[in-house]
Amino acid sequence: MDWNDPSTIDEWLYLEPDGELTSAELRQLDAAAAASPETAHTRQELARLSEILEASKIEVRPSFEAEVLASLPPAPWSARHPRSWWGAAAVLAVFGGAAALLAGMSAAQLQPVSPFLAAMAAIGDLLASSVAAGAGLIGASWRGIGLAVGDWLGESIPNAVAFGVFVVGVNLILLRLLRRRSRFEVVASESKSTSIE
Amino acid sequence: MPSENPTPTDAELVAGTLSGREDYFGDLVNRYKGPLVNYLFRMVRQPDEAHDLAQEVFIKIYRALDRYDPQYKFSTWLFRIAQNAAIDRIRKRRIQVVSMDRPNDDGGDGVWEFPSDEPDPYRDSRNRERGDAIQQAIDALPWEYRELIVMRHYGELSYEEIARAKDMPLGTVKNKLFRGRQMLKKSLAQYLTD
Repeated sequence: MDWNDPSTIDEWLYLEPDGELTSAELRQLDAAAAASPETAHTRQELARLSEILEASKIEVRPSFEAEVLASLPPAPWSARHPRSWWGAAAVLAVFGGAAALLAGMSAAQLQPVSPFLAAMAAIGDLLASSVAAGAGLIGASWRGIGLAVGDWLGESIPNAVAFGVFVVGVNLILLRLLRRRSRFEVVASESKSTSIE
Repeated sequence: MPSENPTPTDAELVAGTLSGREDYFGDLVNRYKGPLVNYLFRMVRQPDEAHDLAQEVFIKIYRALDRYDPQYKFSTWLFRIAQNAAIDRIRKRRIQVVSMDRPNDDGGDGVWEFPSDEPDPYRDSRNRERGDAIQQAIDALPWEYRELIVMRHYGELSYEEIARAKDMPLGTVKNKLFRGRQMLKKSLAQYLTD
């Protein structure tokens, strides 16, 4: 900045009450104020402005802090973030227990194969059966829904049109939700206007 | 933390609160109650409403404390929430904030300002008059300057904090504060020569 430039001095005058000037800038401002009564006067006015704004602050009522603390809800974050490792640990414990049980049984029945390996194989078989059953069930459900929708659409043209409108509507809603601006963006953009209705 | 460190950071107080120490949240309230209540008072212009709103803001902050990201300043987060709360409240009350011609219908608020230690009717009335003049001058500022002036002088936020809270470049903040203060100086000229 060129401190001989009046606009620079003017800017510094307004930055000074906020403590935004370096010591070198302050020294230059002192020199400018000493050389120009007008600058000195403006500086005095701005200091006074800061003083009266500071003096216009209201006192916070003494009971405020106690009122806030008394109205706090029970720690909401502990409910929002349950200790997620508990679930995983419980599943692990159940599988561990099952493995130990099967290992014990296998030790008696499946000689000379390692009891632990036999137990793991049994658990593996169990999981594979469950996955196969689940996949079959889901596949059958989708196939059933597909057949029902196909039959319904094939019955008449209005049905097909209604279904088309439904699909387009759902897509428009999703698109609108995705494009919706955040609350803060809305407030920020509206704050740029000069009034609030 | 308060017991080990005489001036814990905001992030330390937040961490302490999250670990179950509610009194650490009390320290945060104590730290920010003055700037927050004063900021809100200048926005909504009713002392009781400002206190109620400040309380709501602190409760909102408490509810969302686990979402606080310590890489940002706590004050920035607090004042963003306060700003939204104030705007919501102003919208609800439909206050017109820019017209200087509009009579001040909250005239009684000035009583809260410049409390005097000893009875002095002349000073009281002068202080009240000046308090009203300050409020009118602030109300007369265009919204974009008003918000920043109130954040700086009553919310006690630094330029950087305002820039973050408002998502504005630092230069724009400086410029708007410069312009806003110029307008205030002009409006309050008669009180600056005492």
